[in-house]
Amino acid sequence: MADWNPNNRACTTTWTTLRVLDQTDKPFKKSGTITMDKLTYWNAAATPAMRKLQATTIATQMDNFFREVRGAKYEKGVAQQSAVEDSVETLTDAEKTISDLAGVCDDNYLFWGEDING
Amino acid sequence: MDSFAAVFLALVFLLFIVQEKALCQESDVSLDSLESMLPLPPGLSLLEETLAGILEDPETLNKVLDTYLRSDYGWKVLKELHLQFKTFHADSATALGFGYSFQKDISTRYFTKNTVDRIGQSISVSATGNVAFRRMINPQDFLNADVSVHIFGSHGGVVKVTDEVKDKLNALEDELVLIEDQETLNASPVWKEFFGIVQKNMTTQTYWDIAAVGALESDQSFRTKQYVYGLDAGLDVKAWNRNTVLASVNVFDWPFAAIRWLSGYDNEFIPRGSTIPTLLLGIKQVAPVSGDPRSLVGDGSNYARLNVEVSFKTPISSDAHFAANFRYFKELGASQGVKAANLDEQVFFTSALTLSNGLFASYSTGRLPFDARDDQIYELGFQFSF
Repeated sequence: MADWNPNNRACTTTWTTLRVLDQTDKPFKKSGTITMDKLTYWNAAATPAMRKLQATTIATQMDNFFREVRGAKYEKGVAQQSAVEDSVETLTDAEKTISDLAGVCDDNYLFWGEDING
Repeated sequence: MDSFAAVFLALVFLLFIVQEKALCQESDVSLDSLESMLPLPPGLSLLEETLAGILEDPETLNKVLDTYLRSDYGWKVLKELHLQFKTFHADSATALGFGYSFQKDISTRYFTKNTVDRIGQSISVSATGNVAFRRMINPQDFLNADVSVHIFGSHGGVVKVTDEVKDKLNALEDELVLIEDQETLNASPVWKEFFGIVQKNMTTQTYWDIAAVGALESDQSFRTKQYVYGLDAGLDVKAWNRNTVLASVNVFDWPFAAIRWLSGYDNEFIPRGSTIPTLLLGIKQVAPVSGDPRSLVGDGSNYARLNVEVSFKTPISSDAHFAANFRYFKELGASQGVKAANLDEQVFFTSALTLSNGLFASYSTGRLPFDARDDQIYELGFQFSF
């Protein structure tokens, strides 16, 4: 689990992205521990094929939003498909948290304003 | 390959448990009869009853599983395998069992590079099912394991913004993270400005997936099983911008948009384009191997089957969601005997109200392909993540 920190741009951008995608409406401080099965896209009655389809849509839109609207770039050595695939893997695990998802995004994206040497 | 070997061993172990349980039932060996053969002192019997109660609690078993499958015990290779012990209810009887799901992409690659519109290809394996330790009390006795090759694409979703806008959004975000009260956050001019900028730069996203699929379907005892192969097509359209026509005509969300508006959660009647239902369609050839109920009416032949699944979930308030899932199976060109026996069509529908604290109430009706009759299942429960 990533350190759920308001000074970590991966955490804050993951949170606002999920908020504008209607996946959660909780404030930042209460969002880190929210599990994937509490997000709007997660339907407990859906088949794994359906859930993967929905999670891939969300992961793809997160990738679009991070790069085109929030100015993120891929970390060195990270390819688009692996970044999305890592997000899908987290999004399809009921017990993973938004903080976990932010950790995965932190590993794969260099967010706008992040110190490259930091 | 280590993870596949571990998953295989885990599945073999689980099947062994189920098989052993079935053998116990078939030979009328029960815990009660064993206890009568091995009488225990009164104090020990009470202890045994207490321990049995704890050990048969799905939450206890889930906690043990969580410890060994998700912590650093060297079993993390099983992380794609999700097991959940649960209690099944049917016709006022209950039984302990578990649900499992496994999903793994073996390889994924894109034909495009770092673009919003993208096309790619992947190979996946997955398995899902419910196993009850008393087979007769399994309202969803349908196991599926498949391998699939996918071609997929995503189109639209966002519009590129300028660097000034990126700076502005970062500055607004820095203020938003400090607001700790939800109502204050929703009413905040900072949030409204952030959301307004973002909405202008969000468009409708269309995600599609076409897959060639080979699967084994069975009941939990494997007495009934069949091979299935064919094509699946998935479509997920999301109108992320609430001001689009597509978002406003999401009729599935209209009743819930009305509830959100009347309860004051939303300031106006706003159907959400982010909750447009997702559709999965399949056309498959089914090759029954054993236990095909159609053979009882004189038709054990292979047949073509149409599958449909529709999934929908939307918020009702900050702490409540409504979810629905519809599954439909239809044998194409079914014989008169199969139709007369009502075996050519299966419909299964589930709806649920879930709260963010884990409470849920659900209602399911209909049947899956191996179910002998329609069931109606009501569940009221509590979901807990360890």
